[in-house]
Amino acid sequence: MRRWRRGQRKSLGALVLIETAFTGGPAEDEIEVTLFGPGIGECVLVHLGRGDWIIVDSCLDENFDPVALSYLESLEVAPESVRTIVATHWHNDHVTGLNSVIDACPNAQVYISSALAAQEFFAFAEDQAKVEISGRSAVHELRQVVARWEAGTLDVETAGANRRLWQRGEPLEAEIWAVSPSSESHRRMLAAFADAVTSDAEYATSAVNLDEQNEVSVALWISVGGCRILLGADLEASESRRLGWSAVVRLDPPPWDAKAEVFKVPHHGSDDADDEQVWGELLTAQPFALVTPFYSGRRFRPDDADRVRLRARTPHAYITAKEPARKRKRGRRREVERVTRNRTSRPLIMISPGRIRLRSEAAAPAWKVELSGAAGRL
Amino acid sequence: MSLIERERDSLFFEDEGDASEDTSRRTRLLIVQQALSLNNPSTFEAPTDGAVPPTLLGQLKSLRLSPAVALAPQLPGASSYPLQEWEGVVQWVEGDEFGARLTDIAEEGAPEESIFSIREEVSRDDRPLVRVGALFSWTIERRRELTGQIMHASVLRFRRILRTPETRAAVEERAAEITRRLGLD
Repeated sequence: MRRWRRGQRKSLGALVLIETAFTGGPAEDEIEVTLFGPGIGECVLVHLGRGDWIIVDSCLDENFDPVALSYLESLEVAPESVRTIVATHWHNDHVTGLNSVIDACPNAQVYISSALAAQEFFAFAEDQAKVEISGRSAVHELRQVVARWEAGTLDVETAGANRRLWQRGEPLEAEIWAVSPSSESHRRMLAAFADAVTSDAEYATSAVNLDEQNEVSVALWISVGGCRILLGADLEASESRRLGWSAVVRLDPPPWDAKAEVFKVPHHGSDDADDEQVWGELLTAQPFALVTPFYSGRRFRPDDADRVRLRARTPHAYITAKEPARKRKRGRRREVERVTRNRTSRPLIMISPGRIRLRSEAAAPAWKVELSGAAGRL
Repeated sequence: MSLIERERDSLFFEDEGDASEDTSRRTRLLIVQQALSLNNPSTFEAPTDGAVPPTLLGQLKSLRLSPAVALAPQLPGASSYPLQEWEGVVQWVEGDEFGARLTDIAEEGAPEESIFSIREEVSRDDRPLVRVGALFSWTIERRRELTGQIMHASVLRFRRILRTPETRAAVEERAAEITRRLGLD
Protein backbone atom coordinates (compact mmCIF):
# COMPACT_ATOMS: atom_id res chain seq x y z
CA MET A 1 0.00 0.00 0.00
CA ARG A 2 1.34 3.42 -0.88
CA ARG A 3 1.68 5.90 1.90
CA TRP A 4 2.29 9.51 1.11
CA ARG A 5 3.43 12.07 3.60
CA ARG A 6 2.49 15.53 2.54
CA GLY A 7 3.25 19.08 3.40
CA GLN A 8 5.82 18.71 6.14
CA ARG A 9 8.23 21.58 5.80
CA LYS A 10 11.43 22.18 7.61
CA SER A 11 13.78 25.08 7.29
CA LEU A 12 17.14 23.99 5.96
CA GLY A 13 19.01 27.18 5.36
CA ALA A 14 19.02 27.75 1.66
CA LEU A 15 17.30 24.44 1.10
CA VAL A 16 13.68 23.62 1.65
CA LEU A 17 12.64 20.11 2.49
CA ILE A 18 9.17 19.06 1.55
CA GLU A 19 7.99 15.51 1.99
CA THR A 20 5.49 15.32 -0.77
CA ALA A 21 4.30 13.34 -3.78
CA PHE A 22 5.76 13.90 -7.20
CA THR A 23 3.69 13.54 -10.30
CA GLY A 24 5.13 12.07 -13.47
CA GLY A 25 8.80 11.87 -14.30
CA PRO A 26 11.44 14.50 -13.65
CA ALA A 27 11.56 17.52 -15.95
CA GLU A 28 14.45 18.03 -18.38
CA ASP A 29 16.19 20.41 -16.01
CA GLU A 30 15.33 18.46 -12.88
CA ILE A 31 17.70 16.08 -11.08
CA GLU A 32 16.24 13.04 -9.41
CA VAL A 33 17.82 10.54 -7.04
CA THR A 34 15.73 7.43 -6.40
CA LEU A 35 16.78 4.76 -3.94
CA PHE A 36 15.09 1.37 -3.76
CA GLY A 37 15.59 -1.28 -1.15
CA PRO A 38 15.64 -3.77 0.23
CA GLY A 39 13.87 -5.90 -2.32
CA ILE A 40 16.24 -8.61 -3.33
CA GLY A 41 19.01 -6.06 -2.94
CA GLU A 42 19.16 -2.33 -3.44
CA CYS A 43 19.33 0.00 -6.43
CA VAL A 44 19.83 3.70 -7.15
CA LEU A 45 18.67 5.60 -10.22
CA VAL A 46 19.71 9.16 -10.94
CA HIS A 47 18.20 11.39 -13.57
CA LEU A 48 21.12 13.51 -14.71
CA GLY A 49 18.92 16.02 -16.46
CA ARG A 50 18.12 16.26 -20.18
CA GLY A 51 16.73 12.74 -20.18
CA ASP A 52 19.98 10.99 -19.21
CA TRP A 53 19.93 8.34 -16.48
CA ILE A 54 22.39 6.23 -14.53
CA ILE A 55 21.53 2.96 -12.78
CA VAL A 56 23.69 1.94 -9.85
CA ASP A 57 23.39 -1.69 -8.78
CA SER A 58 20.33 -3.86 -9.23
CA CYS A 59 17.60 -5.35 -7.10
CA LEU A 60 14.40 -7.22 -7.78
CA ASP A 61 10.89 -6.24 -6.83
CA GLU A 62 8.10 -8.43 -5.46
CA ASN A 63 7.56 -9.88 -8.95
CA PHE A 64 11.27 -10.68 -9.23
CA ASP A 65 11.68 -8.10 -11.96
CA PRO A 66 14.57 -5.60 -11.86
CA VAL A 67 13.14 -2.67 -9.99
CA ALA A 68 15.11 -0.18 -12.11
CA LEU A 69 13.36 -1.29 -15.30
CA SER A 70 9.92 -1.36 -13.69
CA TYR A 71 10.52 2.14 -12.40
CA LEU A 72 11.64 3.56 -15.74
CA GLU A 73 8.65 1.95 -17.39
CA SER A 74 6.32 3.53 -14.82
CA LEU A 75 7.75 6.93 -15.79
CA GLU A 76 7.45 6.07 -19.49
CA VAL A 77 11.20 6.55 -19.81
CA ALA A 78 12.80 4.46 -22.54
CA PRO A 79 15.66 2.24 -21.26
CA GLU A 80 17.70 3.70 -24.13
CA SER A 81 17.98 6.83 -21.95
CA VAL A 82 20.24 5.00 -19.51
CA ARG A 83 23.81 6.11 -20.21
CA THR A 84 25.67 4.26 -17.50
CA ILE A 85 25.18 1.14 -15.41
CA VAL A 86 27.51 0.63 -12.46
CA ALA A 87 27.80 -2.58 -10.46
CA THR A 88 29.43 -1.25 -7.31
CA HIS A 89 30.58 -4.63 -6.00
CA TRP A 90 29.83 -8.32 -6.14
CA HIS A 91 27.40 -8.91 -3.29
CA ASN A 92 24.01 -10.53 -3.75
CA ASP A 93 22.21 -7.48 -2.46
CA HIS A 94 23.73 -5.27 -5.17
CA VAL A 95 23.84 -7.21 -8.44
CA THR A 96 20.79 -9.48 -8.50
CA GLY A 97 19.14 -9.03 -11.90
CA LEU A 98 22.08 -7.04 -13.27
CA ASN A 99 22.17 -8.92 -16.58
CA SER A 100 18.49 -8.21 -17.23
CA VAL A 101 19.12 -4.52 -16.67
CA ILE A 102 22.10 -4.59 -19.03
CA ASP A 103 20.01 -6.40 -21.67
CA ALA A 104 17.33 -3.76 -21.54
CA CYS A 105 19.64 -0.73 -21.77
CA PRO A 106 21.49 -0.91 -25.09
CA ASN A 107 23.02 2.57 -24.84
CA ALA A 108 24.48 2.15 -21.39
CA GLN A 109 28.18 1.73 -20.73
CA VAL A 110 28.62 -0.95 -18.09
CA TYR A 111 31.15 -0.40 -15.31
CA ILE A 112 32.38 -2.87 -12.73
CA SER A 113 34.93 -2.45 -9.99
CA SER A 114 38.48 -2.69 -11.28
CA ALA A 115 39.07 -5.58 -8.90
CA LEU A 116 36.45 -7.62 -10.75
CA ALA A 117 38.20 -7.28 -14.08
CA ALA A 118 41.33 -9.15 -13.14
CA GLN A 119 42.62 -12.68 -13.55
CA GLU A 120 42.39 -13.27 -9.80
CA PHE A 121 38.66 -12.57 -9.82
CA PHE A 122 38.07 -14.70 -12.90
CA ALA A 123 39.77 -17.63 -11.17
CA PHE A 124 37.76 -17.00 -8.02
CA ALA A 125 34.50 -16.92 -10.01
CA GLU A 126 35.38 -20.13 -11.85
CA ASP A 127 36.17 -21.81 -8.55
CA GLN A 128 32.93 -20.62 -6.95
CA ALA A 129 30.89 -21.77 -9.93
CA LYS A 130 31.81 -25.34 -9.06
CA VAL A 131 30.42 -24.90 -5.57
CA GLU A 132 27.02 -23.48 -6.33
CA ILE A 133 23.86 -25.43 -6.97
CA SER A 134 21.30 -22.70 -7.50
CA GLY A 135 23.34 -20.51 -9.86
CA ARG A 136 21.68 -17.39 -8.52
CA SER A 137 24.51 -15.86 -6.54
CA ALA A 138 26.25 -12.55 -7.17
CA VAL A 139 29.32 -14.34 -8.44
CA HIS A 140 27.15 -16.17 -10.97
CA GLU A 141 25.60 -12.86 -12.09
CA LEU A 142 29.04 -11.30 -12.59
CA ARG A 143 30.34 -14.41 -14.27
CA GLN A 144 27.61 -13.96 -16.85
CA VAL A 145 28.73 -10.37 -17.39
CA VAL A 146 32.31 -11.52 -17.89
CA ALA A 147 31.18 -14.29 -20.26
CA ARG A 148 29.33 -11.77 -22.42
CA TRP A 149 32.32 -9.47 -22.31
CA GLU A 150 34.58 -12.31 -23.37
CA ALA A 151 32.19 -13.28 -26.17
CA GLY A 152 32.31 -9.73 -27.49
CA THR A 153 28.59 -9.09 -27.01
CA LEU A 154 29.05 -6.62 -24.18
CA ASP A 155 31.52 -3.82 -23.64
CA VAL A 156 32.58 -3.48 -20.03
CA GLU A 157 34.78 -0.80 -18.50
CA THR A 158 36.39 -0.76 -15.10
CA ALA A 159 35.84 1.79 -12.36
CA GLY A 160 38.45 2.86 -9.86
CA ALA A 161 39.45 5.88 -7.82
CA ASN A 162 39.45 9.18 -9.70
CA ARG A 163 38.18 7.77 -12.94
CA ARG A 164 35.58 9.80 -14.82
CA LEU A 165 32.88 7.48 -16.06
CA TRP A 166 30.67 9.87 -17.98
CA GLN A 167 30.38 13.53 -18.81
CA ARG A 168 28.09 15.87 -20.66
CA GLY A 169 28.82 19.42 -21.80
CA GLU A 170 26.74 22.55 -21.94
CA PRO A 171 24.02 23.65 -21.54
CA LEU A 172 23.69 21.41 -18.48
CA GLU A 173 27.12 20.10 -17.57
CA ALA A 174 27.30 16.80 -15.78
CA GLU A 175 29.99 14.36 -14.66
CA ILE A 176 30.10 11.01 -12.97
CA TRP A 177 33.30 10.06 -11.18
CA ALA A 178 34.29 6.86 -9.46
CA VAL A 179 36.08 7.77 -6.23
CA SER A 180 36.97 4.21 -5.22
CA PRO A 181 38.37 1.59 -5.02
CA SER A 182 41.86 2.82 -4.30
CA SER A 183 44.82 1.08 -5.87
CA GLU A 184 45.73 -0.41 -2.49
CA SER A 185 42.20 -1.78 -1.98
CA HIS A 186 42.38 -3.22 -5.49
CA ARG A 187 45.66 -4.95 -4.70
CA ARG A 188 44.40 -6.36 -1.40
CA MET A 189 41.23 -7.70 -2.99
CA LEU A 190 43.14 -9.51 -5.72
CA ALA A 191 45.33 -11.10 -3.09
CA ALA A 192 42.22 -12.22 -1.20
CA PHE A 193 40.73 -13.73 -4.35
CA ALA A 194 43.98 -15.56 -5.00
CA ASP A 195 44.08 -16.85 -1.43
CA ALA A 196 40.50 -18.10 -1.67
CA VAL A 197 41.32 -20.11 -4.78
CA THR A 198 44.63 -21.51 -3.59
CA SER A 199 43.41 -22.09 -0.06
CA ASP A 200 44.64 -25.23 1.62
CA ALA A 201 41.12 -25.81 2.93
CA GLU A 202 40.16 -29.40 2.42
CA TYR A 203 36.87 -28.51 0.78
CA ALA A 204 35.80 -25.55 -1.31
CA THR A 205 33.34 -23.23 0.38
CA SER A 206 31.39 -20.21 -0.68
CA ALA A 207 33.64 -17.24 -0.01
CA VAL A 208 30.95 -15.13 1.59
CA ASN A 209 33.18 -13.55 4.14
CA LEU A 210 36.25 -12.20 2.43
CA ASP A 211 37.30 -9.34 4.69
CA GLU A 212 38.20 -7.12 1.78
CA GLN A 213 34.89 -7.50 -0.03
CA ASN A 214 33.53 -3.99 0.59
CA GLU A 215 36.89 -2.30 0.10
CA VAL A 216 36.53 -2.48 -3.64
CA SER A 217 33.06 -0.96 -3.79
CA VAL A 218 32.69 1.77 -6.37
CA ALA A 219 31.56 4.97 -4.65
CA LEU A 220 30.38 7.64 -7.08
CA TRP A 221 30.54 11.40 -7.16
CA ILE A 222 27.90 12.96 -9.39
CA SER A 223 27.89 16.58 -10.39
CA VAL A 224 25.03 18.07 -12.42
CA GLY A 225 24.57 21.81 -12.74
CA GLY A 226 24.60 23.07 -9.18
CA CYS A 227 23.75 19.69 -7.59
CA ARG A 228 26.27 17.33 -6.00
CA ILE A 229 25.56 13.72 -5.03
CA LEU A 230 27.74 11.15 -3.29
CA LEU A 231 26.69 7.50 -3.60
CA GLY A 232 28.57 5.51 -0.99
CA ALA A 233 27.91 1.91 -2.15
CA ASP A 234 29.18 -0.39 0.64
CA LEU A 235 32.56 1.28 0.93
CA GLU A 236 33.86 1.00 4.48
CA ALA A 237 35.95 3.29 6.62
CA SER A 238 39.59 2.52 7.31
CA GLU A 239 42.36 3.82 9.50
CA SER A 240 44.75 3.37 6.60
CA ARG A 241 45.10 6.45 4.43
CA ARG A 242 45.23 4.22 1.39
CA LEU A 243 42.00 2.33 1.96
CA GLY A 244 38.27 2.95 2.06
CA TRP A 245 36.89 6.41 2.77
CA SER A 246 40.24 7.56 4.12
CA ALA A 247 41.63 7.18 0.62
CA VAL A 248 38.60 8.90 -0.93
CA VAL A 249 38.93 12.09 1.11
CA ARG A 250 42.60 12.23 0.10
CA LEU A 251 42.03 11.95 -3.64
CA ASP A 252 44.45 14.20 -5.45
CA PRO A 253 43.22 15.96 -7.45
CA PRO A 254 39.70 15.59 -6.07
CA PRO A 255 36.86 15.41 -8.56
CA TRP A 256 34.64 17.65 -6.44
CA ASP A 257 34.37 21.39 -6.55
CA ALA A 258 31.69 21.71 -3.88
CA LYS A 259 30.14 19.65 -1.11
CA ALA A 260 27.39 17.14 -1.81
CA GLU A 261 23.85 17.74 -0.59
CA VAL A 262 22.75 14.15 -1.12
CA PHE A 263 24.53 11.15 0.37
CA LYS A 264 23.62 7.53 -0.16
CA VAL A 265 24.95 6.29 3.16
CA PRO A 266 27.42 3.42 2.68
CA HIS A 267 26.97 -0.11 3.96
CA HIS A 268 23.45 0.25 5.29
CA GLY A 269 24.38 2.89 7.84
CA SER A 270 26.77 0.57 9.62
CA ASP A 271 29.40 2.14 11.88
CA ASP A 272 32.16 0.35 9.97
CA ALA A 273 31.45 2.67 7.03
CA ASP A 274 31.12 5.88 9.00
CA ASP A 275 33.95 8.34 8.45
CA GLU A 276 34.05 11.70 10.20
CA GLN A 277 36.01 13.29 7.39
CA VAL A 278 33.41 12.34 4.80
CA TRP A 279 30.70 14.15 6.75
CA GLY A 280 32.94 17.12 7.40
CA GLU A 281 34.74 17.54 4.09
CA LEU A 282 32.59 16.05 1.35
CA LEU A 283 29.05 16.81 2.52
CA THR A 284 27.10 19.95 3.29
CA ALA A 285 26.22 20.65 6.92
CA GLN A 286 22.87 18.87 6.92
CA PRO A 287 22.82 16.64 3.88
CA PHE A 288 20.04 14.37 2.79
CA ALA A 289 21.26 11.00 4.01
CA LEU A 290 19.60 7.99 2.38
CA VAL A 291 19.91 4.53 3.87
CA THR A 292 18.90 1.08 2.70
CA PRO A 293 18.64 -1.47 5.48
CA PHE A 294 20.11 -4.95 5.48
CA TYR A 295 18.75 -7.87 7.39
CA SER A 296 21.17 -10.70 7.94
CA GLY A 297 18.80 -12.86 9.94
CA ARG A 298 20.41 -11.96 13.23
CA ARG A 299 21.04 -8.27 12.83
CA PHE A 300 19.15 -5.43 11.24
CA ARG A 301 21.32 -2.67 9.88
CA PRO A 302 21.21 0.15 10.76
CA ASP A 303 20.85 -0.87 14.40
CA ASP A 304 19.72 1.48 17.16
CA ALA A 305 23.20 2.90 17.68
CA ASP A 306 23.60 3.51 13.94
CA ARG A 307 20.29 5.36 13.85
CA VAL A 308 21.26 7.59 16.76
CA ARG A 309 24.59 8.36 15.13
CA LEU A 310 23.08 9.14 11.74
CA ARG A 311 20.34 11.30 13.21
CA ALA A 312 23.05 13.25 15.03
CA ARG A 313 24.80 13.76 11.69
CA THR A 314 21.78 15.21 9.96
CA PRO A 315 18.10 15.77 10.66
CA HIS A 316 17.38 14.72 7.09
CA ALA A 317 18.08 11.02 7.26
CA TYR A 318 15.72 8.62 5.51
CA ILE A 319 15.52 4.87 5.21
CA THR A 320 13.84 2.83 2.50
CA ALA A 321 12.32 0.40 5.02
CA LYS A 322 12.01 0.94 8.75
CA GLU A 323 12.04 -2.66 9.91
CA PRO A 324 12.32 -6.15 8.48
CA ALA A 325 9.26 -7.65 6.88
CA ARG A 326 7.48 -10.43 8.69
CA LYS A 327 5.60 -11.65 5.70
CA ARG A 328 4.85 -15.28 5.24
CA LYS A 329 7.22 -17.00 2.89
CA ARG A 330 5.80 -17.72 -0.52
CA GLY A 331 5.89 -20.77 -2.72
CA ARG A 332 5.91 -23.28 0.09
CA ARG A 333 3.59 -26.24 -0.05
CA ARG A 334 1.37 -26.93 2.91
CA GLU A 335 3.12 -30.25 3.31
CA VAL A 336 6.48 -28.46 3.57
CA GLU A 337 5.04 -25.83 5.87
CA ARG A 338 3.95 -28.53 8.30
CA VAL A 339 7.52 -29.80 8.56
CA THR A 340 9.17 -26.41 8.81
CA ARG A 341 6.67 -24.33 10.78
CA ASN A 342 8.41 -24.66 14.13
CA ARG A 343 11.74 -23.65 12.68
CA THR A 344 13.26 -20.24 13.36
CA SER A 345 13.08 -19.08 9.80
CA ARG A 346 12.50 -15.68 8.33
CA PRO A 347 12.82 -13.88 5.04
CA LEU A 348 15.98 -11.86 4.60
CA ILE A 349 14.36 -9.16 2.53
CA MET A 350 11.28 -7.05 2.32
CA ILE A 351 8.90 -8.55 -0.18
CA SER A 352 8.08 -5.06 -1.44
CA PRO A 353 10.97 -2.58 -1.40
CA GLY A 354 10.49 0.94 -0.16
CA ARG A 355 11.47 3.96 -2.22
CA ILE A 356 12.96 7.36 -1.48
CA ARG A 357 12.89 9.97 -4.23
CA LEU A 358 14.61 13.33 -4.18
CA ARG A 359 14.20 15.97 -6.83
CA SER A 360 15.78 19.34 -7.33
CA GLU A 361 16.16 21.95 -10.01
CA ALA A 362 19.53 21.36 -11.64
CA ALA A 363 20.62 24.97 -11.44
CA ALA A 364 20.59 25.24 -7.65
CA PRO A 365 20.03 22.52 -5.07
CA ALA A 366 16.59 22.72 -3.46
CA TRP A 367 15.74 19.11 -2.83
CA LYS A 368 12.28 17.76 -2.19
CA VAL A 369 11.66 14.32 -0.77
CA GLU A 370 9.02 11.73 -1.51
CA LEU A 371 8.67 8.51 0.45
CA SER A 372 6.70 5.46 -0.58
CA GLY A 373 6.18 1.87 0.44
CA ALA A 374 8.01 1.04 3.64
CA ALA A 375 10.27 4.12 3.48
CA GLY A 376 10.32 6.64 6.28
CA ARG A 377 12.44 8.97 8.34
CA LEU A 378 15.31 7.22 10.04
CA MET B 1 18.42 -47.70 -7.08
CA SER B 2 18.57 -43.93 -7.14
CA LEU B 3 15.64 -41.57 -7.21
CA ILE B 4 16.34 -40.72 -10.82
CA GLU B 5 16.23 -44.41 -11.75
CA ARG B 6 12.91 -44.73 -9.98
CA GLU B 7 11.69 -41.70 -11.88
CA ARG B 8 12.72 -43.39 -15.15
CA ASP B 9 10.98 -46.63 -14.26
CA SER B 10 7.81 -44.91 -13.22
CA LEU B 11 7.79 -42.96 -16.46
CA PHE B 12 8.34 -46.06 -18.56
CA PHE B 13 5.60 -48.00 -16.87
CA GLU B 14 3.00 -45.28 -16.41
CA ASP B 15 -0.39 -46.40 -17.77
CA GLU B 16 -1.07 -43.04 -19.28
CA GLY B 17 -0.52 -43.78 -22.95
CA ASP B 18 2.47 -43.41 -25.17
CA ALA B 19 5.20 -41.28 -23.66
CA SER B 20 6.09 -39.98 -27.11
CA GLU B 21 2.71 -38.25 -27.29
CA ASP B 22 3.06 -36.54 -23.94
CA THR B 23 5.47 -33.60 -24.17
CA SER B 24 5.90 -33.22 -20.44
CA ARG B 25 6.48 -36.91 -19.92
CA ARG B 26 8.83 -37.08 -22.91
CA THR B 27 10.87 -34.20 -21.50
CA ARG B 28 11.10 -35.83 -18.11
CA LEU B 29 12.16 -39.08 -19.72
CA LEU B 30 14.86 -37.27 -21.66
CA ILE B 31 16.17 -35.69 -18.52
CA VAL B 32 16.38 -38.88 -16.53
CA GLN B 33 17.92 -40.75 -19.44
CA GLN B 34 20.56 -38.05 -19.79
CA ALA B 35 21.24 -38.18 -16.08
CA LEU B 36 21.64 -41.93 -16.17
CA SER B 37 23.86 -41.82 -19.23
CA LEU B 38 26.56 -39.96 -17.34
CA ASN B 39 29.69 -42.00 -17.03
CA ASN B 40 29.63 -41.92 -13.29
CA PRO B 41 26.73 -39.93 -11.91
CA SER B 42 27.69 -40.50 -8.33
CA THR B 43 30.80 -38.40 -8.83
CA PHE B 44 28.76 -35.33 -9.65
CA GLU B 45 30.36 -33.48 -6.81
CA ALA B 46 33.84 -34.43 -7.88
CA PRO B 47 35.65 -31.54 -9.54
CA THR B 48 35.58 -32.92 -13.07
CA ASP B 49 34.65 -30.34 -15.65
CA GLY B 50 31.70 -31.43 -17.72
CA ALA B 51 30.66 -34.26 -15.40
CA VAL B 52 27.14 -32.96 -15.65
CA PRO B 53 26.21 -30.86 -18.68
CA PRO B 54 24.94 -27.39 -17.71
CA THR B 55 21.70 -27.97 -19.59
CA LEU B 56 21.05 -31.10 -17.56
CA LEU B 57 21.65 -29.17 -14.36
CA GLY B 58 18.94 -26.75 -15.37
CA GLN B 59 16.61 -29.57 -16.29
CA LEU B 60 17.15 -31.34 -13.02
CA LYS B 61 16.36 -28.08 -11.28
CA SER B 62 13.13 -27.89 -13.23
CA LEU B 63 12.20 -31.21 -11.69
CA ARG B 64 13.02 -29.66 -8.28
CA LEU B 65 15.92 -32.07 -7.92
CA SER B 66 19.53 -31.27 -7.36
CA PRO B 67 21.83 -33.88 -8.87
CA ALA B 68 23.01 -34.71 -5.37
CA VAL B 69 19.47 -35.69 -4.44
CA ALA B 70 18.41 -37.16 -7.76
CA LEU B 71 21.40 -39.46 -8.01
CA ALA B 72 21.56 -40.51 -4.39
CA PRO B 73 21.12 -44.26 -3.90
CA GLN B 74 18.07 -45.49 -2.03
CA LEU B 75 17.21 -48.67 -0.22
CA PRO B 76 15.29 -51.13 -2.39
CA GLY B 77 11.59 -50.97 -1.72
CA ALA B 78 11.74 -47.60 -0.07
CA SER B 79 11.16 -44.34 -1.87
CA SER B 80 11.40 -40.68 -1.20
CA TYR B 81 10.34 -37.57 -3.03
CA PRO B 82 11.78 -34.11 -2.45
CA LEU B 83 9.01 -31.62 -1.81
CA GLN B 84 11.24 -28.59 -1.65
CA GLU B 85 14.96 -28.06 -1.75
CA TRP B 86 17.14 -25.13 -0.85
CA GLU B 87 20.78 -24.30 -1.30
CA GLY B 88 22.16 -23.06 1.99
CA VAL B 89 25.27 -21.07 2.80
CA VAL B 90 26.38 -21.05 6.43
CA GLN B 91 26.50 -17.45 7.68
CA TRP B 92 27.45 -17.99 11.29
CA VAL B 93 28.13 -20.77 13.77
CA GLU B 94 27.54 -20.41 17.50
CA GLY B 95 27.73 -23.36 19.84
CA ASP B 96 25.36 -26.02 18.61
CA GLU B 97 23.60 -23.73 16.17
CA PHE B 98 24.32 -22.27 12.80
CA GLY B 99 22.42 -19.81 10.65
CA ALA B 100 22.26 -20.16 6.90
CA ARG B 101 21.08 -18.11 3.98
CA LEU B 102 18.73 -20.24 1.91
CA THR B 103 17.86 -20.06 -1.78
CA ASP B 104 15.12 -22.22 -3.25
CA ILE B 105 16.81 -24.27 -5.95
CA ALA B 106 13.82 -24.68 -8.21
CA GLU B 107 11.94 -21.44 -7.95
CA GLU B 108 12.54 -17.72 -7.86
CA GLY B 109 11.93 -16.51 -4.38
CA ALA B 110 13.13 -14.32 -1.61
CA PRO B 111 16.23 -15.64 0.12
CA GLU B 112 15.63 -16.44 3.74
CA GLU B 113 17.59 -17.46 6.76
CA SER B 114 17.00 -20.44 8.97
CA ILE B 115 18.71 -21.63 12.10
CA PHE B 116 19.75 -25.27 12.42
CA SER B 117 20.95 -27.42 15.27
CA ILE B 118 24.23 -29.14 14.46
CA ARG B 119 23.71 -31.98 16.91
CA GLU B 120 20.13 -32.71 15.94
CA GLU B 121 20.17 -32.05 12.21
CA VAL B 122 23.65 -32.60 10.82
CA SER B 123 25.00 -36.08 10.29
CA ARG B 124 28.11 -37.02 12.20
CA ASP B 125 30.17 -37.18 8.99
CA ASP B 126 29.09 -33.70 7.94
CA ARG B 127 29.68 -31.93 11.25
CA PRO B 128 33.34 -31.06 10.52
CA LEU B 129 32.12 -29.24 7.40
CA VAL B 130 29.90 -26.84 9.32
CA ARG B 131 31.74 -23.55 9.11
CA VAL B 132 31.09 -20.11 7.71
CA GLY B 133 30.79 -20.29 3.95
CA ALA B 134 30.02 -23.99 3.78
CA LEU B 135 27.34 -24.98 1.29
CA PHE B 136 24.67 -27.57 1.78
CA SER B 137 21.36 -28.64 0.40
CA TRP B 138 18.32 -28.73 2.65
CA THR B 139 15.55 -30.95 1.44
CA ILE B 140 12.09 -31.55 2.82
CA GLU B 141 11.22 -35.06 1.67
CA ARG B 142 8.19 -37.27 1.71
CA ARG B 143 9.34 -40.85 2.34
CA ARG B 144 7.67 -44.18 1.97
CA GLU B 145 9.29 -46.80 4.18
CA LEU B 146 9.57 -50.50 3.37
CA THR B 147 6.59 -51.05 5.65
CA GLY B 148 4.49 -48.58 3.69
CA GLN B 149 4.67 -45.93 6.38
CA ILE B 150 4.80 -42.38 5.04
CA MET B 151 6.90 -39.84 6.83
CA HIS B 152 8.30 -36.40 6.22
CA ALA B 153 11.93 -35.61 6.72
CA SER B 154 14.21 -32.61 6.87
CA VAL B 155 17.54 -33.61 5.35
CA LEU B 156 20.78 -31.61 5.31
CA ARG B 157 23.60 -32.65 3.02
CA PHE B 158 26.84 -30.68 3.09
CA ARG B 159 28.70 -30.35 -0.16
CA ARG B 160 32.09 -31.87 -0.59
CA ILE B 161 34.04 -30.48 -3.49
CA LEU B 162 37.57 -31.48 -3.03
CA ARG B 163 40.24 -29.14 -4.31
CA THR B 164 43.15 -30.79 -5.98
CA PRO B 165 46.19 -29.39 -7.76
CA GLU B 166 44.49 -30.37 -11.01
CA THR B 167 41.28 -28.46 -10.27
CA ARG B 168 43.25 -25.43 -9.20
CA ALA B 169 45.32 -25.58 -12.35
CA ALA B 170 42.16 -25.83 -14.47
CA VAL B 171 40.66 -22.79 -12.77
CA GLU B 172 43.85 -20.77 -13.20
CA GLU B 173 44.15 -21.78 -16.83
CA ARG B 174 40.59 -20.72 -17.58
CA ALA B 175 41.11 -17.41 -15.77
CA ALA B 176 44.27 -16.75 -17.75
CA GLU B 177 42.40 -17.49 -20.96
CA ILE B 178 39.64 -15.00 -20.07
CA THR B 179 42.25 -12.39 -19.19
CA ARG B 180 44.02 -12.89 -22.51
CA ARG B 181 40.82 -12.73 -24.53
CA LEU B 182 39.80 -9.50 -22.83
CA GLY B 183 43.20 -7.98 -23.45
CA LEU B 184 43.79 -7.43 -19.76
CA ASP B 185 47.08 -9.27 -19.52
